[in-house]
Amino acid sequence: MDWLRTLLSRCMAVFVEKKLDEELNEELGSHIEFAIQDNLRRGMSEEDARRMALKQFGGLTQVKESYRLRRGLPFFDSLGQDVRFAARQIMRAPGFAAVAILTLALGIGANTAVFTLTHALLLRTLPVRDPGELVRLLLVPIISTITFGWSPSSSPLSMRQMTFSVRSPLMPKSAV
Amino acid sequence: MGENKSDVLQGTLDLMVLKTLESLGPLHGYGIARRIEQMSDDTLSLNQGTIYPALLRLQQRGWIKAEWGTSENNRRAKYYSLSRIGKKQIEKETESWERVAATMARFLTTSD
Repeated sequence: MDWLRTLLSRCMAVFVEKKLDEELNEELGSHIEFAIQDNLRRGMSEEDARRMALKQFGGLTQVKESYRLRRGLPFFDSLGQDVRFAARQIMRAPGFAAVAILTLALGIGANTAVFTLTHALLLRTLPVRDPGELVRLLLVPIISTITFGWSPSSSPLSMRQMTFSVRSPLMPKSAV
Repeated sequence: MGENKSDVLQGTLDLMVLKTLESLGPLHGYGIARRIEQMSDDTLSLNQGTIYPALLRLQQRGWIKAEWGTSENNRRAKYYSLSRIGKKQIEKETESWERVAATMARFLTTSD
């Protein structure tokens, strides 16, 4: 639940950033002021009191920065900045941008085409249930006797041990 | 204020803030920072500024709430106080911190 509340609070902060910045400045200003008052009460000179107060506080800018990073949605801030920067660059050199975009488009297109082809021809498994069990049987006529061409050492008899289920007979026409 | 300031674990600072608000009531950032410094006899002098990200974190979780008020010397300041969720959370945080401390103590006292 904590993270949800935090996220909600961060989202809300995006819309009132300016107001929150002013509030933070005022809050930290009061802090320094309180510290100065305390130091004056301890008998420091005005200048020393201010210097000491700032030193006790640590880096004002760092604190503001880490506060801001925690407050809004810095990721989207920087994303927006990048998009705006890209848009400005494109507007500045539209010709170059067009060539770059075209190059990228052609490159991606060509890659996709080649991959689609490779995928269809080489990578994709055949549309059957257990592609790993597929066996290709070739009937090769050797001097008028028909034998199994893929296992030259074994006699056709040993093939009887194996069971084949014929799901998609793929026969080149010449083999028939 | 010494040079080697011990780093404070995030959760530790959170609990210190919660306990401060529990015992002293609504307080501004400077007050909380001073209280923590005093309670630790200035040995654990954190940069007072580090209290603000911690306060924001606690606010975002809904454990504390902030309201603008006027200080005794007539300056506008943000006053923090415990929320209902925060009050419940103190117990949980205290428990888990005590467990860590007990474990550490066991490590530190065992000699063999």
